[in-house]
Amino acid sequence: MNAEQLINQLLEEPDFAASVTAYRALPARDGRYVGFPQALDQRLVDALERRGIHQLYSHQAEAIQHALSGRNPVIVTPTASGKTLCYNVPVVSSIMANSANRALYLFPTKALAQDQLAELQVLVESLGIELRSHTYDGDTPADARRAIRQAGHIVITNPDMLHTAILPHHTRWVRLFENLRYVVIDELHTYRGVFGSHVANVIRRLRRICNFYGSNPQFICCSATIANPAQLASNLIEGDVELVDQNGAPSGPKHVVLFNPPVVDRQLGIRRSAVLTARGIARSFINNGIQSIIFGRTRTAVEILLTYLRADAPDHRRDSIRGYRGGYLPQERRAIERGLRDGTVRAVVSTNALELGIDIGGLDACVLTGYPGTIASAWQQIGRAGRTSASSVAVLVASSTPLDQYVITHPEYIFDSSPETGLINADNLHILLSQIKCAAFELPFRDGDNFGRTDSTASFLEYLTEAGLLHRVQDSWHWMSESFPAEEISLRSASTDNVVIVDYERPTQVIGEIDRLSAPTWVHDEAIYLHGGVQYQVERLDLEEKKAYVRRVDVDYYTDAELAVKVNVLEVMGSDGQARSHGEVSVTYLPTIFKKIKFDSHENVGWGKIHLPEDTMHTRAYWLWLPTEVSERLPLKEVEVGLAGLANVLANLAPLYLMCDPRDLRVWPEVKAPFTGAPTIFLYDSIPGGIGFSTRLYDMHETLLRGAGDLVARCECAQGCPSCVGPQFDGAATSAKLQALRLLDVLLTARPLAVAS
Amino acid sequence: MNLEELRTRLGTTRPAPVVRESAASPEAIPGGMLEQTNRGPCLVVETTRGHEEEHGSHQFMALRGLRPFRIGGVLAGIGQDGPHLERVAYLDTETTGLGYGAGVQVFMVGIGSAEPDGFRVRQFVLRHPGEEPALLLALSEYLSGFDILVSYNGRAFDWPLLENRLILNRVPPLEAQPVHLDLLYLARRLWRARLESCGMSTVEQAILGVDRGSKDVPGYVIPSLYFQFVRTGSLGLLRRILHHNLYDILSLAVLTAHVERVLADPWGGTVSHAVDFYSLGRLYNALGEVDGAVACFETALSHDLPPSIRDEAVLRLAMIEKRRSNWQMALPLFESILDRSQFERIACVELAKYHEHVAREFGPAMQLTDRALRADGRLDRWPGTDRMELLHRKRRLSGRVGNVTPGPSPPS
Repeated sequence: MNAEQLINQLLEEPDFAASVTAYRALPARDGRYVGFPQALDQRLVDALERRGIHQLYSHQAEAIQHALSGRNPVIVTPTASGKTLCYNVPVVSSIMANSANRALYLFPTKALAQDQLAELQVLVESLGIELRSHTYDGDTPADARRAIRQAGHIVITNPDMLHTAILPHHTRWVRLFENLRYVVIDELHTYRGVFGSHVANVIRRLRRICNFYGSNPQFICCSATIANPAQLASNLIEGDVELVDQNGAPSGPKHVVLFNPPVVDRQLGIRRSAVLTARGIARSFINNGIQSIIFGRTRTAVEILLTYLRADAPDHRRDSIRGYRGGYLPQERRAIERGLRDGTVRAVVSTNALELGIDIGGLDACVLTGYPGTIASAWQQIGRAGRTSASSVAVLVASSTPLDQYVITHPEYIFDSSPETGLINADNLHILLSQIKCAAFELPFRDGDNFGRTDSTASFLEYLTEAGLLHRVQDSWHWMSESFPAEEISLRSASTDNVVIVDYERPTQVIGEIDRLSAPTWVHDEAIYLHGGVQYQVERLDLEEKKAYVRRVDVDYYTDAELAVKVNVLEVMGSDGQARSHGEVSVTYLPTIFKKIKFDSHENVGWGKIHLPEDTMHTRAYWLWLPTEVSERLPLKEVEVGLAGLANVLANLAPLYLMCDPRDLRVWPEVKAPFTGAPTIFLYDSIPGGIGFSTRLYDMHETLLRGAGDLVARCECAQGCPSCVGPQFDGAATSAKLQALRLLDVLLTARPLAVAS
Repeated sequence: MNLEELRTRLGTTRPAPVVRESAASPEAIPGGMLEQTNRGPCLVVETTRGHEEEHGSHQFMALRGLRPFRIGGVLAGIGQDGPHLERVAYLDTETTGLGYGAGVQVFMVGIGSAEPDGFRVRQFVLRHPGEEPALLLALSEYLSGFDILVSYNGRAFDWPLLENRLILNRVPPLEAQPVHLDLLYLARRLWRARLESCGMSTVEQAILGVDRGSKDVPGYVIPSLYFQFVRTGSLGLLRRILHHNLYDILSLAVLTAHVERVLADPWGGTVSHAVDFYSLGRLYNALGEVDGAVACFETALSHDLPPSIRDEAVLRLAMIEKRRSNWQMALPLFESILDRSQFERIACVELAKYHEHVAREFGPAMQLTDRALRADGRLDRWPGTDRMELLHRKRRLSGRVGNVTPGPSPPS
């Protein structure tokens, strides 16, 4: 049975059909083809023909034409639409025309870089010309580096490496920078938020260096579907771009099903778990031999699903079901990717790690366990199922969170509305200051120099001079410090340090790694760490050594850690004086306890304390509060319940209005916040320095609150449920739903409400 | 955004202003002068030490007409015939940091050379980073008068860094690159076995008897002294750095003369430590000068040596004799280290090879192979001591022992 037949059969089962909130059959699309541009070297055309490419898709031809004519194309087409050719053709062609020409490819991860290298080399081999392409990353051996610097035509790397290894050592890369014709930025949509804001500055630095050596490269960007690819690209490279978004690639029919697990307890508003539901659906795909990918929202979800699906599978299929996520070692990942391409891996359970353009071929079916948070991600994941001619199936299984419930009951949101906006703020104060340090290290600034489009470059230079890092002499500003700024500054977050996970019973065995910020909640002492479906218990987390020591265990639970958060207002940057403000805050996190949660039943079977130091982050926040004359007249308990409920709604709804990843925004309610002296809800950017989300929320205050009121009022539950104000427990003295609505009313009318008798 | 706003938003206050002394005037530094280039002036500080003056246990006289041919030969940079390679420059730089990043500046370059009136050191100094093009031009011009450049870690550090600075300041590279001899490589070969480190401060004290006294500053504080000098203009700070750099060059030059003499004739009174003969033996051996190596090892072994070095000297000597098929010499040497746990395995292997292939006594060869297998194999860097190879040998021998095999026929 193929995927299409299976989904049709499932749709005929009443139980299944009852839970389907939307079903769309996206028709097959014919390809649109165009001949090769005249300007291309005939040898290149011949080589492509030998590889079976006799024509270009229309979007490829368009992009290539832009690139060959000196413009900066931004290509936005779905997964597997031949984006690689859009940049490889103009780049290879320019090097064939002049072997001095150079190109730089940027991919957000090392894995993607490896993938591209392989593809490029196949093309170059069939051309039979001398064109050297290399990856340059942390894994490149020292002796190979010199050769690459001198003679590599195409250097494939990542922004982090450009930042710490290439730009600060530009005198070793004279040949590259003197002759740089093209800079390729693939997976453009990943360069948003703090990472994108840093990368925009790295590109400013790149331009300075190119300018010094007399080159002025063009940029070719590729992106998954987002609302503003051209704007994001143009902000990132600070230049004009040409949008190419008319996909000319053919695709087979695709069946997309939105599935809302049934309510199992109407009183509590509890639905069947998304994980267990996805397990059932994925199992029927796997049992019917349909090659599938199952996405989980979190690393834990991936490991739990993997454990379930392996347990469900017949013996001979068990090994062909694999897990995939950050933290698996590269060799392991490469093997899984190969297995997916050659068909030996029949199912893979993955985090969004496989959302990016890693080549795993097209699969037949895809199950999304929970809405991945953004429309762009959802379509990227759905796009993993898809063949050029055969049909494919994608099922989105909603969880009980308000966001999922909103999306699953408003199918038009996914099918018809515009996807997210990629926001960056290259002039974020902290990011800019860090990056100007790096830039000053690389080349002295001169009076009148601007760093990209920053207009206050001179103030920053004066500031750094006062701080003793620069020295001004005549008309220039020179680096005057022993430090190496790029090494101290991470593009990705407050810290790039990874904590290595070691199986101490097999001392040489590093089984994985985890970023420093996640470590306190993931690998605290006594945590259960799941890796490849195997359970490990953390014996000791050593944050100084950056190691977590684990041992294999066999238990029937997993762990879930809780954080205590403190928000301090540092500076108010805007306020209506009554109910809302925005400004700079510092947020302190302290992991407190962890709960032990049983597999299958998901019941709480115990807990423990976490003993770790707190972490602090400076960022931007938007906060709203109740007038004290109202809150003082309400019973504390009611305010507490209402506030928590409202916070839950806002946490889930705000990303929808902002069209950002929910993880970029955090919410924290306080019954009596020290700063306002009143019941307050803080919404803050979960990024040091902030990106601007909270400022935008401040501006859309009323829309946001009205939306929240609408969602709570319309929810089918009685007293409140996970889909609106959050899970409620039996015997609650007061209705969270009612309290949240009452607070909303106060906030919206900004007038005291009659106190309920 | 102005500076004031920036300070507020970053939560910092205005720092105390830097108190500047008067600009560093060249006259205030003994030997100081301004050299004009077409990209501005460069401060040059010149110091000359008379031939009779001493530096540690050496006189600068030793540097007159010195041509480091043997050093060059060892470093394979120049051959023995280089009559045109007359002029030797000794180079050392001071930098604002370690590493090769574009933000690491070379703010002082000292060049020493033997001149008719004594040993002269010219120090090219950046009074501020704006003078860098002038420094590089003046330096290039001066260096063009030399054929050989001697440095201490200069091939890996100072020179690449200077190349960075040329690129950054758009100053063309030297037309004729001088031959570059990096003495650190040789110093390591010669003294690593005896000295804790081969840094210049250790070597000059231990080998040259140089004592810099309390005036000298340790190398790691130099960048911060320099930054302070640039900001305040305090000449006292600059003098301390000049002094440090001067001593580095004097020591480098004298060390060059010393090493050249050592290589010319190790027995000429220049080598006073038995361990150094062992190191020399290894050096000659690596260069393929077997006779020299044997002589050095033998000299080393005729004195008191630390036990581990003694054993290693024995082993290396034995290996040479084995290669020369001088079994009469080699056998007792191997046997003498059989009981040293670190060398037991290799000694057994070598003796087993002898018994198997030369003497054709398979019984003893087998016993020695068994012993090698039982022995501690931590010293695996010797070829042939790998466990797999030993097991292979054992298998082969057990075949031979089983057969009736004639021993070497007795001389009739």
